[in-house]
Amino acid sequence: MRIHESLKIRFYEIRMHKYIILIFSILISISTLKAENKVWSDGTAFTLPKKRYEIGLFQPLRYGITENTELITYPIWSLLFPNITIKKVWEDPCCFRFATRHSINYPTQFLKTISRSGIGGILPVLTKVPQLFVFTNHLLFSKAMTDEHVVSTKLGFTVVLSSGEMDMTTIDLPVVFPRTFVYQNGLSFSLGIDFDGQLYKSFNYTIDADFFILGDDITSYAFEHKAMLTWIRSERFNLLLGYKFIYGEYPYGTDINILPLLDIQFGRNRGVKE
Amino acid sequence: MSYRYQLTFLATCYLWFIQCGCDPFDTQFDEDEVNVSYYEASTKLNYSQPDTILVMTWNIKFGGARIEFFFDCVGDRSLITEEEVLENLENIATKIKQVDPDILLIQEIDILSKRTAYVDQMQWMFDNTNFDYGVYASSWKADYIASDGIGRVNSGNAIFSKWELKSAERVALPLRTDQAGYVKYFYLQRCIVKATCDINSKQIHFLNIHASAWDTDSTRKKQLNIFKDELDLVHSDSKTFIAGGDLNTTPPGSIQLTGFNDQENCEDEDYLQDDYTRQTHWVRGLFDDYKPAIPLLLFQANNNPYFTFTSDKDGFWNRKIDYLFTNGSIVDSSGTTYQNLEKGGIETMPLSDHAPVSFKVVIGN
Repeated sequence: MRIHESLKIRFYEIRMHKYIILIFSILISISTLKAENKVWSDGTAFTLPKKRYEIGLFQPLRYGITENTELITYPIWSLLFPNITIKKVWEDPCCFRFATRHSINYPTQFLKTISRSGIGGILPVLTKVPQLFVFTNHLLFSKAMTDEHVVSTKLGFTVVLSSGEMDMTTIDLPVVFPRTFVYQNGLSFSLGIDFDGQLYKSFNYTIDADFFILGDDITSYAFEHKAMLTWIRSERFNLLLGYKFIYGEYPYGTDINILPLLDIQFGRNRGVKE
Repeated sequence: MSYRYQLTFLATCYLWFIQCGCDPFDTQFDEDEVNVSYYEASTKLNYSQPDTILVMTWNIKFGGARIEFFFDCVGDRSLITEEEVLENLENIATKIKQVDPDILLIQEIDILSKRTAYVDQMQWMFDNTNFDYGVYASSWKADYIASDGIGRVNSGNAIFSKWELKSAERVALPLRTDQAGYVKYFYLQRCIVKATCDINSKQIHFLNIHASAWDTDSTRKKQLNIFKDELDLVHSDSKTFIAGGDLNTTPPGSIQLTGFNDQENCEDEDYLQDDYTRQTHWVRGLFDDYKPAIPLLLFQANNNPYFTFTSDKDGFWNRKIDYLFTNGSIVDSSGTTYQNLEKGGIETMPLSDHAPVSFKVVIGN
């Protein structure tokens, strides 16, 4: 029996379960607040204005096709990992904004590329990767609490269609595992909440929490929380700084990770002289 | 917005990343900490104190048996299934129970590695052998290694004992200098794990080393010197030690020093282990100053019965790189190299790429 470590981990588990429940309770209770504003974020039911595009070093390219439809993709990744997401704002049924987000990606070629010997070999060289088509759908609800603050909730699921022999192992990394375990399992669910708004002058904030239900006996869930400060230097340039907290079950057991987040975001309104 | 705010924000970004970027994959060891885990059986067998103890050393290749891995020159496997690991561990445990050592020095035991399906082999050993106590020190750990599909790894050296182990420590050994910085960050950090044990009112020091295998810069020599220094320290304090492990070096008087048949088809030079010509004196000091399980004269008279390693699953042991030493009294002719059915009662070739070695040491008066 491993004495000290096992007790410590058990204590941590109990404390973390309470922590997750507490955070969700607070967030869900706050989400009933009402107001209106103009904050555009990936986790909200708002879309970019028509013809505006934004791209970050680590964030996707987002483009407002119309005032209520947005296209999202990771352009560089698309060469190996074709992916496209569309977000559509529907009618405001009463006092909140409702949107849906639908994405499809094809990770097969990328997974084959990282199945290699030597450096970069995230998967073993002998891995058999099947044809994988990944469909993710989200419902997004946003409500403005004041002129500067918006709260959003989201509910989604991912389904994977696969064809061919599969002996792929899991990628046991924070952030990656909850999003790729579905390749093995075929179906996963997620729910989450986002807070976005202005903190001070040209500083905006984003705080979110996401819960992934992976539907497996061993690795049944993951919890992610992100807090991010955005310095809006101008309409064309933002600097983002924050952290991501991840607590989840992996094939090796439960684990906690805190990752730093730093990104530079560029935006422009196409066809508009600035 | 004033430049003061802008500069503060940028400085915060920079400091935040420096702080987070120090050891993002948790591969480093804090020198201020002991870096050793203590284990004990949930149900103890409470052994009596004997006059002699049987000590065995074995590199168990993390339960990989004769599966050919990418570092075995000819293989391409990186991961093994839980079924494979458990089956191989069962065979290793059978050998251990057959020999029934009082103290076991193990190298390459995994506790939380993707390559071995995250089987905690320390815990498994307690559940399936007859030891009451154990200590473990990692010689390779990383939250993730993005190379050859290795992923998460935690592998190291362990001492198993029938009696309580105390004062365990991890002695860090010098790192290879012939690698790029980013490779070094994720690479093995060899160590000695040491602990003491009170047997028959006598404090015995146990040391278990696993030295570098593929270095091209004589790192192994520095590591072996540190091992010798550790033994000298115990000896100068008039204490008894029993030490051993995988020294990855052949003894003086080895007939064959290069051109091993298991390296003929080696496709990757990084894992070539075929030239010991400069190394024969590296372990001479140990033979000169202390008592080995296999006396040097015996080995030099005929090398073959004492070989402990081959990477060729279809071949046979072709070099000796595993050792046991003590400054105490060895029971005459008790040194044994368990090579096969005739020399040890069980075929050991299929169990690991190393053969176990044991000897009996007198503890009482």
